[in-house]
Amino acid sequence: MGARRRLRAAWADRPTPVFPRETWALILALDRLPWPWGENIMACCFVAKAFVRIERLRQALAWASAQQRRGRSRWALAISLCFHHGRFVARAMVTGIQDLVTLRQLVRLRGQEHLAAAAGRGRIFLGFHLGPTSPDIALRLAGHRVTWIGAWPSWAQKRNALPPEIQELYASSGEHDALETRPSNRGQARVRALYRARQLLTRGRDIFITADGAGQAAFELSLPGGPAKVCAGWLLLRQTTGASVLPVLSHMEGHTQVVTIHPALPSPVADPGDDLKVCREALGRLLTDHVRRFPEQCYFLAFAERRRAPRHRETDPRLIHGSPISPA
Amino acid sequence: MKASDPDEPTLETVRAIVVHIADRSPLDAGPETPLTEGGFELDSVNLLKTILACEETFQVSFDPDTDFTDQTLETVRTLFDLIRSKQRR
Repeated sequence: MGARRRLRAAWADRPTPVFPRETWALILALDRLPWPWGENIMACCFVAKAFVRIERLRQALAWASAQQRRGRSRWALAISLCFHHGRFVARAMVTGIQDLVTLRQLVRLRGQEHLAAAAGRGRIFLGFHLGPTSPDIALRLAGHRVTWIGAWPSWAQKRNALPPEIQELYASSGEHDALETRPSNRGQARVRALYRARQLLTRGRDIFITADGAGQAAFELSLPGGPAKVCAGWLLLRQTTGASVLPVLSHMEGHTQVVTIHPALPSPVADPGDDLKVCREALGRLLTDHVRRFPEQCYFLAFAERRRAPRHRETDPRLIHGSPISPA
Repeated sequence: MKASDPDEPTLETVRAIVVHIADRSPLDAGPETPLTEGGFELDSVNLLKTILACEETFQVSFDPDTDFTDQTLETVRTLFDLIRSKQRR
């Protein structure tokens, strides 16, 4: 495909409503620069934007105030938060990364030893919006087949914006494009996705699902800086299939995205109420520790819709929560 | 929840399954009551629970691509019709 045709196809593939036109245009433009220029420019743009959209800056400062900063100023943390948000937006689209060799150098997978303990049955990789997005890419790079269950990033949505080698990686490492759970798609898309996820798990396959995206809340976790909603879909999958649940967290170390597989949650117990309690306690400990270590990377909590005043609610809040990256 | 005769789904059995799973039920809930908005208010998770309970009770299996549509999962009656159509095959 010629460069012009590829660009046209990439423009048509804009993942709506996650990326506004201007952000998508910027991503496509920055993608032509050598890595990491695009990432850095995007990060700086997000810092600048916070000073233009003061509400954003207020949210960042409020988040920073709620953290134990250990000698770090509130302003430094707030600016770092905006910077990381911009970097994550660029990284979500592998901006400036044109081949697998470069991508492999920028992604590291830790905790693979926990996979062995959960082998032999379906596994649920449970992600959270507490760091750089698309942590499943680390599993794919390491040779694991995994099916992404979620609204975005569906690789099919952004396929034409990805370099061919990375398209091939997605295409060869698990189902991905059919399990659409976009909340704006009224009807029964989410039911279909959850049902199919259950089918995969009962056949011993692995899925990746985020716990804090769109969907019915099973419980809230009280984290430093505010509560985090944890959805019920993965919990039902766990309880009805007995699949192992391995929490997966992601953070940046410099320019490297580190994806960590944590030990599996305790096996399901018969009583759903007791099971929920077990999961809440285990995840509460894990996420509290993560937020304390990387508060500057938890943009999703800092910029969550619930922190906005009602008069700013211009979009269906479920869409905001459904977006791993919300650059608007 | 098990039906007395798994080969004979009835509207009442399907309704009982839905009522059992729904967090709240309209006082006048009947066959035409919507499963989701304006009726039993089942979200996707509770809708899936309902489907799994129906599978187990009536010994049917579904094809998510063709069976789970806005029409088939609209009311208790359309769900009942779906189950019956699966049993006939």
